[in-house]
Order: sequence, then C-alpha cells, then structure tokens
Amino acid sequence: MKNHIRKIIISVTIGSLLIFLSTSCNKDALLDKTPITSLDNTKALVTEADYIALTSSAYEPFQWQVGPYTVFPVMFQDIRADNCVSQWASYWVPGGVYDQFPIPANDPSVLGYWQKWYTVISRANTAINFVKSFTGFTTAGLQQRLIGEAEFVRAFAYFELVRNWGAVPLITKYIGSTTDQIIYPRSSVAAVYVQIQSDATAAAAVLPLSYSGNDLGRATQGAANTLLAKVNLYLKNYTATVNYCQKVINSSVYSLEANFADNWSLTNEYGKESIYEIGYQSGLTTDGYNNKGSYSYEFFGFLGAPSCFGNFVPRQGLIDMYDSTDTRKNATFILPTTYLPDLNEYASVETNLYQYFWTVPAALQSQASTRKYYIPVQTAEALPTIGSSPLNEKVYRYADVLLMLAEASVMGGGGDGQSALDQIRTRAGLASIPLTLQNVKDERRKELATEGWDRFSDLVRWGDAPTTLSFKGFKQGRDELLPIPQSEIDLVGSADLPQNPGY
Amino acid sequence: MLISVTALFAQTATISGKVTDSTGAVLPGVNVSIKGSTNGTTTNTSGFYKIAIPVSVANPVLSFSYIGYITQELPIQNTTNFDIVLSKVKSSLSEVVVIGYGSQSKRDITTAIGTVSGKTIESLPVYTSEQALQGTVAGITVTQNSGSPGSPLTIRVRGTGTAGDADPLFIVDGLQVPDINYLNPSDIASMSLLKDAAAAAIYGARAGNGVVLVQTKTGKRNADKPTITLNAYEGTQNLGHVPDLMNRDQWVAYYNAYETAHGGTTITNTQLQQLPNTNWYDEVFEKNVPMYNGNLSVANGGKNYSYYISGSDFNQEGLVGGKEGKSSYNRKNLKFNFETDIFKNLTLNVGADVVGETDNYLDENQAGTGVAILNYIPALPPVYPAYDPNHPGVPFNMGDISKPITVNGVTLPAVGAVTNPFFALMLNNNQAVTNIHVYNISGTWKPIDNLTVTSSYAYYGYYSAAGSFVPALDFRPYQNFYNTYADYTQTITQSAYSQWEGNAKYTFTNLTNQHLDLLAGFSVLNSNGNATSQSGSDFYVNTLKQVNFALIVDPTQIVNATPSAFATGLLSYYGRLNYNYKEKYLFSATIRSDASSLFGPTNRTGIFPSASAGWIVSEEPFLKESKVIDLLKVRASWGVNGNNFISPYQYSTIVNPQSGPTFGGQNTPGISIPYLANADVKWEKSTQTDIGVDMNLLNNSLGVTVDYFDKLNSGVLIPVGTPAYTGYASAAANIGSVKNTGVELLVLYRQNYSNGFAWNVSFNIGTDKNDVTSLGLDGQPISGGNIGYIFNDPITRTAVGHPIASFYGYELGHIDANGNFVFKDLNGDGKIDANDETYLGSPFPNFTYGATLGASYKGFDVSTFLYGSQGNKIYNATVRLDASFTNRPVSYGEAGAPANLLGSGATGTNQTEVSSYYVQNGSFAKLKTITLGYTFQKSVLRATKLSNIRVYLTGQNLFVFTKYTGVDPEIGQSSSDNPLDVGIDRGFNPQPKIILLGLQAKF
Repeated sequence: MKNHIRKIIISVTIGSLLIFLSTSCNKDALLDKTPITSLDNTKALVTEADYIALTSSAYEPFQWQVGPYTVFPVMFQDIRADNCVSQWASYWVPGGVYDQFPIPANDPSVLGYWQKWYTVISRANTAINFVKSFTGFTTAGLQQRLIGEAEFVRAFAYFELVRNWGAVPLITKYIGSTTDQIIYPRSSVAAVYVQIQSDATAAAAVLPLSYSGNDLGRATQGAANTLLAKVNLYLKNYTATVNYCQKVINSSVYSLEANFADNWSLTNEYGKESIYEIGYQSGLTTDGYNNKGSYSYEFFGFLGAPSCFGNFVPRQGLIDMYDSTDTRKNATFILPTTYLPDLNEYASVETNLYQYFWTVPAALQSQASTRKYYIPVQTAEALPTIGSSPLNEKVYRYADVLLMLAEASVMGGGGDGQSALDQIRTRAGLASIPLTLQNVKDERRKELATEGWDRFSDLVRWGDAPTTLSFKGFKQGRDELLPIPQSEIDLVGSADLPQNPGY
Repeated sequence: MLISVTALFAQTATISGKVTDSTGAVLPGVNVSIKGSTNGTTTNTSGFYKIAIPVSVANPVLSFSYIGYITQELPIQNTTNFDIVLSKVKSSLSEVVVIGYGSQSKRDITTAIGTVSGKTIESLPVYTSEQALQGTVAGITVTQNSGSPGSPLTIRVRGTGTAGDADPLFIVDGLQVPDINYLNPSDIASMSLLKDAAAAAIYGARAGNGVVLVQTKTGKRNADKPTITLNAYEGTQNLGHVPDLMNRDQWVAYYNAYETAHGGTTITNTQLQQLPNTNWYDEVFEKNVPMYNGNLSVANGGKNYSYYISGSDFNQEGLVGGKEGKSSYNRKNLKFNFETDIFKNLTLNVGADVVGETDNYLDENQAGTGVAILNYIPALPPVYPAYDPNHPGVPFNMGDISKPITVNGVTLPAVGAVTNPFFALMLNNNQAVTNIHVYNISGTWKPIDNLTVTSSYAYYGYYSAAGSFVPALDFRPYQNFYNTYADYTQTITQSAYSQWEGNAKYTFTNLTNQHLDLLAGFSVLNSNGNATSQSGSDFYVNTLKQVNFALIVDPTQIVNATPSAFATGLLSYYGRLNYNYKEKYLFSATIRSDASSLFGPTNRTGIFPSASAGWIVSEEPFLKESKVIDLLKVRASWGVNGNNFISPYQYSTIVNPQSGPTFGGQNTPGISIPYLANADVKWEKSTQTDIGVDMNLLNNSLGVTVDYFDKLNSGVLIPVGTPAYTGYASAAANIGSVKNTGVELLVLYRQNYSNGFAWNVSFNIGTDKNDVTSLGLDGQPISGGNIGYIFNDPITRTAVGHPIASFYGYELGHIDANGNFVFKDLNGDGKIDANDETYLGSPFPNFTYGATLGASYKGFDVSTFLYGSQGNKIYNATVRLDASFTNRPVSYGEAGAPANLLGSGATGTNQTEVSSYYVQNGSFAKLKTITLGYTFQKSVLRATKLSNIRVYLTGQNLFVFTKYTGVDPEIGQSSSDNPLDVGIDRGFNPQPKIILLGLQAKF
C-alpha cells in the first residue's frame, strides 16, 4: 500500500512537472506570430508616409501587363477593333482571342482585365477609407490630395469597366473582412457614370496641376479634366466635353511635342504633351505583375530585333490611312522601308520574310510592326530581362484633348474645333482639312493608333462598330461589351451578376 | 537450430521422442527424417516418433519439419531419446508495430496501420524512402511525379480529402519533417502508415491526411561483435516506352495535306528523300545512363549502450542531359544513433542525420519559352536535324523566322513556339544544393516500475541554394541562336523545425486478466523559413560552376526579388489509454489538443478525439481449437483528425509592402492588402470510421487484412469565395467537404518446405471513391490546371458531387468529315456552349494494387513486385496545337482524325476546347522490380570474415501494361503544392528502365 501511494505521488509530481514545463514555454511567443515580410495592418499605417504608400498602391495595377493574366490595353482596343492583329499564326494565344468575335466568357484575359481595374478600385476605396480618418497629416493639403488621387484612379478604373462591360458592380466602400458585404449586384450604366463624374470632379478640384521628381506620374488636375472630357464625350454631353478640354488647354501646362515621335522617347518621359502616363523602370523585380519594367518592347517590338515577339501587328488598312508625308506614319510603324538607326539597316532586311511560310490570317496583309514602344536594340540588350523596358506608357496626351475638342465641336459643343484639328494636322506635317466628323474620326484613329486606349470604344460610341468590324464577325447587341468573366458569375451567381446579352 | 545433448552413444541406434509446440501441446504428423538418407517417419497422434539410424550414416542429423513451424535439425551424437519443441514460424501478428509515441504488438492493435519493414525496403531496392510505400501498403497511392532523378513523389493516404495540401504528415523518429526524400532508405528500420483517424489522432491537428511514421535503425545491445553491413548497387538506365509519333514520311504527308488545303507549297517526293528522319526520343534520351548507390553501416552494442552509424552515397543521372551534367541527383547521408544508460534508470539517446543533396534539374511538365525540353521532344517534327549538318556542335534552329529554313536544300517551315532540345539544354543550367541537418536528443527515465518518462528535443534544418544560369552564347551566322548576356538567378531557401516534447507512460501490472496503460504528454513545435532571390545579367564568366554575383559586370544591376519569410508555432497536449481484457477485448482511446499560430485567437485550439476497439475472436473457446484459424480479430475505430496546412496569417489583415508603382522613373513605396482576412478560419476536420478484420490462417501461413473506411473531410480549407471585383485574392476559408470511402485488402501467404524451398506471395488492393459533398459559399466550383497556351479553360474542376480535380469540358460526340470536333449538346438546347460542358473523368484511380511473388531455394532467391493503378484518367496535353508545324501522334494522320491544323496553331475546329478527346485511360500495371539473388552458403564463407553475402540482379520498370499513349502513365501533380493540377501530361520525364547489379555483405 505504501508503495502504491509512493507511485501515485511520483506520477502526480511528474504529471505536474510536464504541464509546468510545457506551459513555461512562452505561449504567446509560440502562438501569436506576426507577419515577417508583410505588415500587420495595425502597425502598417502610422506615419503620413504610410498613407501616401497606401494611396500609391492604387496606381500599381496600371502597370500590370503579363502575370497570371495577359492584360495589355492594346488587346482590348486596337486588336479588338480594326487597328492590329494579335500576331501571325498562333504564337500568341491570349492576343489571338481578340482577333475575332465573340470573346469567350472564360477567356483568362477578360477576367484579368476585370480584376486589374477592380484592384485599382479596391485599393482606392481602402486608401480613401483610411486617409479620411487619419488625423496625423502634417503636410498641408496632403490629405485632400491623396483622396483626390484615389478618386481619380477609381473614376478611371470605373470608366474602363463601364465602357468594356456596361453595368458593373459599383463598390465605393472599403471591404475589410469576409463579414463585410462582398456580394454586389450589377449596378446601372448611369449610376456608374454618375460615380465616375462625381469622383473625377472632386479630384479635379483638389489635385495639383503638376508634380516634380518622384511624384511625376501622380494624378493631376489635367488628368482629371481629361477624364471628364472623355466621359462627357461618351455621354454625348458635347458642351461639357468642350468645357473640360478648354480647362486642360487653358491650364497652359501642356502643349504638343514638335516631333510626334518624341512622345515615346526614353529621354522625354513625362514630356510636355503627356497628361497622364504609366511609369516603368528597368532593373527591378521581373516576374509577372511584380515587374516594374514594361513588357511592351518584348511583346510589341519589331520581330527582327532580338527577343521581340512582334505581336500587335498593324493591319494594312490602318497603315494605308496615312499620307506618305504624315510624320506619324514613320513613328507609328516599322515598315520594310523603315530605316532603323539602332540596327543600322532597313527593316526590309528582316521583314521580307514575314510572309514566309507563315499562315497569314486573311485580315493581315501587312509587313509591319508597331513602333511607338520600340526601344533601341542597344538599350534592350542591356536590360536585366527583355521584358523590363523602362519606356513609360502614354495614357492621355494633349493631342487627345485637342481631338476630343474637335469632335465635340463638330457635334455642336462649341469651341474652336477647326483650330484644334489644325494643330494636330500641322504637327503631323499635313495641311488643314475641314472640320467634319469623318475627318475627326480619321484623324483620331491615326493619331492614337496602337496606343491601346481608344479605338474599339470609339467605334462603339460612334455606332460604327457593326459596319466597320463586320469583317471579323462583330455582332450588334453582343460584341459592344465584353462578357462578364464566367468564373465571377460562377462565384456570385447569375442572379446578381447576369451575363451580358448574347453571350 | 542445433541442439547438443550428451548421452550414451549407441552402435546402431533407434532414436525416439516427443514433439511439442512451445505451449507444450503435442504435434502429430511432424516429418522426421535423417538428412542424407531416404529414411523418415512422422509423429503419431500423441506426438511420439521412433526412427532407426542405419549404421551407414556417418554423423547423422535428424530433421524435424512441420508446416507453420521452424524446421529443426539435430545432430545425433550419443543419445537415443530426444524431445523436441518446435517453435512457430514468426507470424506477422507477433511483430511490434511503431505507433504514435510508442509501439504496440500487432496483435493488440485496433486501428488501421500499414507497415513496411526495413527488410522489405532492402529487398526492393528503392532510392527514395517514399518509393518504399508504393504498392507495399493497401490504401496509399504513391505516384512518382516524374522519372527525373530526385523527383518528388505524390503520396495520398485514402484518397485526396482536401483541395489544399493533401500530403500526409511525416514523422521521423518523432520529429515532424516536410518530406522523407532526404532519408537514406537503408537507414530505415520500419515505416508505419497510420491510415485511420484513430491511429493518427494522437497527431491531432496535422493528421487529417494520414501519418507516415519512420523509425530509423539503431544498434542492439549485448551484441558479441560489431556488425558491418555493406549494400551497394550499380545500375544502368534506359528509356522505356516511346509514344507513337509521326516519322518523316508520315509527317511530310501530313504537312503536304495541310499545304495543299491551304494553297501552299508541298514537299516533293524527291525532296523528302533529302530530309533526315530524326527520332527525337532517340536523339535526346541517352542510353545506358548510370546510377549507383553505396551504403556502409556499423552497428554494435554493449551491456549499457548501442550505436548505429552509416554513410551512403546515391547518385542517379537523368536520361535527358545526364551526361552533360544537366540532370542528376546525388544524395550523401551520414547518420548515427547512439543510446546509453547514464544511470540505471535513465537512458540517453542522441542521433543525427546529415544530408547533402545536389540536384541538377531540367524544367518539365510545363511549356516555358526555351526551357521546357521534355515538352519539345514530342513536338519536334522528324524532318529537322538535331545539329547543323555543316557545323557539328551547332544546334539546328527549326524555329528561325529570320530567314528561310533549308535542310539539305529543301525549304521547310519554321516551327512555332518550341525549340531544339539541344539548344534548350545549353540554356538549362539549374543546380540546387541542399543541406539538411537533423538532430535529436532524448532521455528516457524510469523512476519507478512501470512508469516511463521521456523528453526529447529535435531539430530539422533545411538550407537550399538553387542557381539557374543561362550562358551567353552565339551560334550566328550558322544558326540564329544566341543569348547576348548571361543570366543568373540564385534563390536561397531556408527552413527549420524545432520540436520539444515530453510524455509519461504508466502501465498497470497488477490487474487480474486486464491490461491498462496510459500515456500523457505535450509537444511544442516551432517552424520558420525564408526565401531570398537575386538575379542579374552579364557576367565575367560563362558557366554555372563559376558564376556568382561578385563576377557580374555591373553590380548595380543585381536585382533582388522581394524576400519572403514565415514563422509558425504549435502547442499540443495528448493522451492515450490502452486497455484489454484477457488479451481478447481490446480498447484504445486518444485525445489531442492542438493550438496553432495559423489561426486567430478564438479558433486557435482544436480538440481531436478517437476511440477504437477490437475483439480477438480466435481467443474464444469456439475458435481456440480451430486448426484453420490461428487468429481472427475484428476491430472498429472512429476519430477526428485535423488539417492546418494553410499559409500563415490568413486570419488577420496583413499589408503587403511591395506594391508601389513607378513614379518619375523610380520605384515608389506602396502598401496594399493582398487578401481579405478571414478571422473565422479554423482547423479543417477529417472524421473517419474504419472497420477491419485481421486473420491468420493455416498455421499462420496465410494472413488476411480487410478494412473498410469512410472518411469525411469537412471545413476543407480552400482559398476561394472572394469575387475578383473586391480586388482581393481569397484567404483560406473553411468551405467544403470531401468524402472518401473505400475498401482495402491485404493478403499474404508464405510457405516453407523441409527441402529448403520457400515461397511467398502477397497482394494488396485499396479502393477509393472520392466525392466533393459541399463547396464554397453556394457550391461554386473551383478550377485548376491551366494550360493557357493551348486551352482557354482550366482543365480540372472541383465541384459538389464529383471527385476532386475532375477533368471538365466538352464531351466529344464525333469528329465530322472536316475533322471538326462536334461536341454533344448535353442540355439539348440546340446550341453548344459552356452549359454543355461536363465532367470527363477523374485523375484518381478507383483502386491501386501491389503484388509480390517471391521464392527461395538453396541460396537463390527471386522476387517480383507489380504495382498498378486502375480507373484513373490522364489529360494528354502533349500535342502542341498552339505551335505551328509541330509533330503529331501517328493517329492524327489516319482517317477520322482531328482536322489538320498543322500550320495554323491553336485556332478553330474546337480542338482547343477542353474536351473528352484528350482524356485517356491512365490505368496501368507496372512490373516495378524483378530480382534474382544468390546468398553464398555459410560453408563457402567460413574462410572469410563474412557472415553473409548476397549478390543480386534487379530489373526495374521492365514492363508497363497500359493503354495510355503518352510516354508514361505514372504521372502525379504538376507541382507538389497544387492538388488541383493532377493527371495532366504536358510532357515530363518518364521513369527509366533500370538494370541493377547489387551486393549485400555482412561482416
């Protein structure tokens, strides 16, 4: 019996010891792990700089081109319209989808483009939410500016969404947890436009006219007014369009480059004609969406140059639009007759082979590459990877503003449309032509071709798409809009997220 | 066994005696014979025998043999009466099985545990430890992801139950490790596979995918001398199956058909004769590629210590690029285990495993630009030469679009998207050097009788430096292949697990007819890891061996990728009770509580209970006397396990600091929230019921084990549910449940005969039915397996009512006269659209099976091992539709084939839709090994110091029975962390046929 008691005592002692030992380890240190290479949100937002960084992140998806999805804007405008063909044959499947109609609802790039702009919106919503409630700003006007920047990118993103998908879910609140509302039904086109105008107007009121140094590329008053001009053009509010264009013009911040090609010169980033552009740089992370460089040279570049894919081939119909004396022609295309100083040869040396054995899509009879995002071979070869071109991408140019003014003027919005059109013509080395809608349309196409922001949407808003794009199977009532990404419908349900008509 | 008895010697003797078993029961019918003569007799019903020894027999030896018992030989010296006790052949049920935190007699086990002994592993011979599980245990599916040297394996215990990480938990000598690839298989003493929840429940939170327990070898105490063991083999490897691809004439005919239809220029018959007929498999796959393994170990033990020390070196070259050093795997292990009594009741155990791995690898099962060699091989047409005919050593560029391509004067088209594998080999220089250090120390203290207290600390450290180098090269002007500046990327990955545990076990001994033992303990597990990566271009040197970042031309151009790091912690308490009454009624229960840092404070702790019971029916009076049934045990178990294999920090909102844009040409700070935090995220639960029967029949020569299981994973952790329009990626959420049910059968039969012949056969089979029973917020499916360059749609879909990762697409009705795929209008609405897509089959087998057959006679042994998988489908995505003018299987040139898209790439005729056309029967049976061995007779060895020497010849993967047309039907996941991308063949390294010559020697 005594022995038995001894055993029990020892067992209890050891048992207690075990429990003591195990709890003596620092339980909190063991189980409360804070992120190491990311930040705890309660600690991330402390200083003014943190709120700047939070707002800046809303711009970052503008740089997304190739990652989980391929989302060059050129696919959705120039290829989807009549300016470019994805490429010869089949080297490039993501682009090939945009050569024809209908675009499938399960196309990865449809989801990618949707996600890209909604990520901008989400980050803008987050920034507005936190910036508004932060009381520690010491720099005068910074809080208002950051909110204005976020409102601009949010308006920009909703404009991309509404012109590509029509009525989309309209979210302007910060979603902070899975317990917040995450099912949003499709809103109405009108409501989305109201939001865009309200955001852009608010942004224009607080944003500065310009920046310098490390802030070049942030949203300006000019960018917000340009967006408002464009939105009103889409809404056929021609007077308002003229009005906003004149605001941009009268700000005296912008003017046309004397030489059209200088818009895409590495030595002229954020030039005087640029109202809004997407910044890139070489030498940083080069994988997927994290790439800080641009894939534009690798994807768009001239096939004869090293490592270029030569996608986005200009259609012959576009090339034929240009007069031989039009200085934009040589800056927009690399043709067999183009002399390339960096290669020290005529492009024909390389392009003669284009039709060689390639199964050329019927639409493509051209021997050409796009030139705007071409960079000299010597620069390209020195890049860490060919997919990290430092050349910025132009979004809004002053020329666009002049052309919008010209168009709105033709449509009765007032203003001196002829003078605006003449400025574009003169810079291109061409004589004046009368201010007619068709002339403005043609000029607009030639001026902005292959830049990726206008062609398809212009055709749709003009009502020209069904005729102009009939050759590639455009179906009225369906192909004006992209399909809602199928995976999104699968997730949310078609009651809240019904598919666009015809798909 | 020799027995010497001293007695009177008789001139002509009659020997008599009685034969009993170890319990004293008499054995009738035992064969008694005189060795070297024909005389013999059998024991009578009372176990008595009587036999006369003829004078002619010098040094007579009596032999006693009886089925199910070990044969005894007895030299007759000078006695006339021998009573013999025969002992039973050791039955599988008397084995001791390693279980969580202890071991148990197999007889008393009430849960479903599969075992693989060290002896089995030695006989296989496997080169990675995970291979030893393939086909040896019912209910576990082991698939080699590829035949590349050092390739990881996919292990699934009782099916895939989760869309997240579905790998089992690996425990080596008590320590959690991420995988067991690092182990030297020769160091393994035993492997236990805890299949049902009750067996695994002692590992609670992490056991939902099953547990693989590995025990490494130790020395034995009181050995009379050191045992030195040498195991070595050398082998040669060759390619097995080659897919049926077009040869030159077939391809040219196919090409001409395309050109004719599209108004192009055809290749004339005269031109055809000028063209080479390159068999790319022949060209690229090397012949007689070597592999070797050498392992030397020493084990010894004294009165109060024992040790085991071993060293090994395993090397395997790949069939592709092996000889150029582009593909090889080398593993060196240094291992020791040592234990000693410090005091009478305190034993100290220390062990270490120091591992160095060097892996030169090629990218595979993907299609990247320039690197996916194994994807290119089936895609290249036979009409191009491997090398420029005029410039040996210069790879031929069949994809050159800068000038017309001519081969022997014949102009040929440029091949799209794929390139010459020999050029790709030049670009591919990947080497991962990995060091793994495992240390453990433990003390076992027995303060009083029946109480054992153990505490242990163990550490697993992983450090890997992987370098990828693309050299600068220039084959212009001969061939347009060049890379102006060398590129180099180095990624350093480190991780560590450290674990501290303590437990106490008490066995009650003074209970009448009952047995009770109790175990209680705790475990503290810390893990952390980080990864950093640097890359740069343009170096002063031009080989992977020489390159490092000090030798970059412009150091300001070194690019640092965003580093990543994590830390996790786990605090657990566990307890177990084992009880039996009269060793007849068995009961066991466990409980474990786990708290994990991966979950938020409110959901941190999970409780995982289990219970199991067994009844040894054969101990009951009505069976006890049975001559047929030696053991019959029925058992049942129920338990709950968990799964916490998710990324850290999912429960809290985190901020990603690397999301700034470029402003003014410079990177700008940016912080963003990457995913929507799910504060409610908690343990995934796996509830499993198992009913099993163990039988030993016919004097233990036949063993049968049957199990039925029903496993329901609920609260499956899936990162879905957040619409893209929120701008967030999804955090892990507990949305989904998956049910796996199946039956497992294991049959073993072995028989030894008195003449020395012995044979054995075993067969195991495990079925599994996998079904997703709920999913997502409202059942929305999850997609996986993208092959964006050919197919828009993902290949697999995980949805309610279907197996995980089922292939999903259109069902092919027929191929019309123009070669267009005509899909079935499954919903009958008169049009073919996404609503007609359906489930096209599962990548998981209905059942897998393994069979072994072995025999031995007079030193010779032969064994074969067959492994098979039935009912699994493979999505064959090896035809590069997107790449113009690539090669095709022969069937594409036959009547009724898909339309000829040779020059147009992935456009039209529905060929680029995911459809049943590409889904193939992936069932296979592989003759994994066949071995012939010879063990030298003791008499031969007497002159040497050797106690045992065996030589053997093994063939591996010699025969594959399959209908799959690709290169190898044994295909796993495309990557180890994506269970939804499984069974898709994008071109990978097939498993080689291997011939090995091996030697096993003991000193």
